[in-house]
Amino acid sequence: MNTFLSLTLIALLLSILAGLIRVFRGPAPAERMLAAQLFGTAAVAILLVLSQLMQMPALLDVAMVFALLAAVTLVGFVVLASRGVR
Amino acid sequence: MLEIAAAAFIALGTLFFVAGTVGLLRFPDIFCRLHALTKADGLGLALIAVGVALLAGTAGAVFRIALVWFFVAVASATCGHLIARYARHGVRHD
Amino acid sequence: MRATTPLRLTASARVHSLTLADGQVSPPPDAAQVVPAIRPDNTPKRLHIVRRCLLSMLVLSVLWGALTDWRADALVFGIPAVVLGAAIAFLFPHPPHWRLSLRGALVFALWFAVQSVRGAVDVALRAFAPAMGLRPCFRPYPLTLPQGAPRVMFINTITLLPGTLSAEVMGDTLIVHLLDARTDLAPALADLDARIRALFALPHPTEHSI
Repeated sequence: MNTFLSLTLIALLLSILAGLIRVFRGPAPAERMLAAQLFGTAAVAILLVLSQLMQMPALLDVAMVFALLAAVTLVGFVVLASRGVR
Repeated sequence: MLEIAAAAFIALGTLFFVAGTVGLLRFPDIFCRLHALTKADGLGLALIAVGVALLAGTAGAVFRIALVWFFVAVASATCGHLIARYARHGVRHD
Repeated sequence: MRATTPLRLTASARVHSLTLADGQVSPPPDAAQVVPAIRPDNTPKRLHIVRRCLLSMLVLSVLWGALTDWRADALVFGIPAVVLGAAIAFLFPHPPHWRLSLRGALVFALWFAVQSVRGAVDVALRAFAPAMGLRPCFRPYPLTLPQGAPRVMFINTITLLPGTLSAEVMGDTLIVHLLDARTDLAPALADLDARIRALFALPHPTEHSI
């Protein structure tokens, strides 16, 4: 089971890495926002898997804080960027 | 048995994450990419959450996982809408 | 941000769905302004406030309890946090009251799960397919649901339906982005509209149906 969970983690990390390619390829702010959304969701998924892999239930609380903060971060990102546009 | 079901959920969820990322890289414009992110990643996280909840077993953990999923689901729909609106206006003002 | 929806959902009170529907004919742009007109007259205002206060405190305490595994020593922080949270809920503009139909909610949740799986599978298949079959376009759609939770729910659910994404709200018009211009938008959204009306126990708009 642990090998399987580790493989899952690697796949999720790779998908975040591919999101970084998107950021470098299309440097418009909207592309970065997309990457920020991907990072938020994938990081929460990684934390959920990691809490099982390492048997650390506290990571679920970390995931919750991350989920809340990722949303706030993205809203802040969009607000700041649209101030720059106008 | 439970472990196999959990593993299946987590594997499927990861597959959806990979699909979302592939869409992010392949789709032609920002709105199509947004489709890939909000839908595929949302379901991917839901499936992984179900898998991890099956493995975790305790009521507290299941509650936390459900709450995490709920936050992310609401946030991703709202943030997707925000990004789309920003992208439309960015195009208009340039 | 509508992250406070669980609170608002439970903070439901007895509603006149009819007054809600009347208020939608020419809704002011700000949802907060609609509220006084919607408040039913037969229930005293004070009762509403007390009920709202109790409900938000109940929800917050259950949340706190579950997150701290019902430990008694955590209550040192828990009680002030719950009181503060309930107070903050009052700082938000008073949401219009609505009623959730329990049966509608169950039906909606099931339908929603199926649709979001369909949407994700559709977009995943397109991502892996050599020819993605994309013909993206924008389409306007008139919003007929009342301001507040029903409308927010409608807009957010569209994003998870197969092939559609709500891109922008302009007054009472929603701009929907479609992955494939050949899909039929109106029937799918009219169906969603009807389902959300069932969820919030709202009457169907007979005179201006789409």
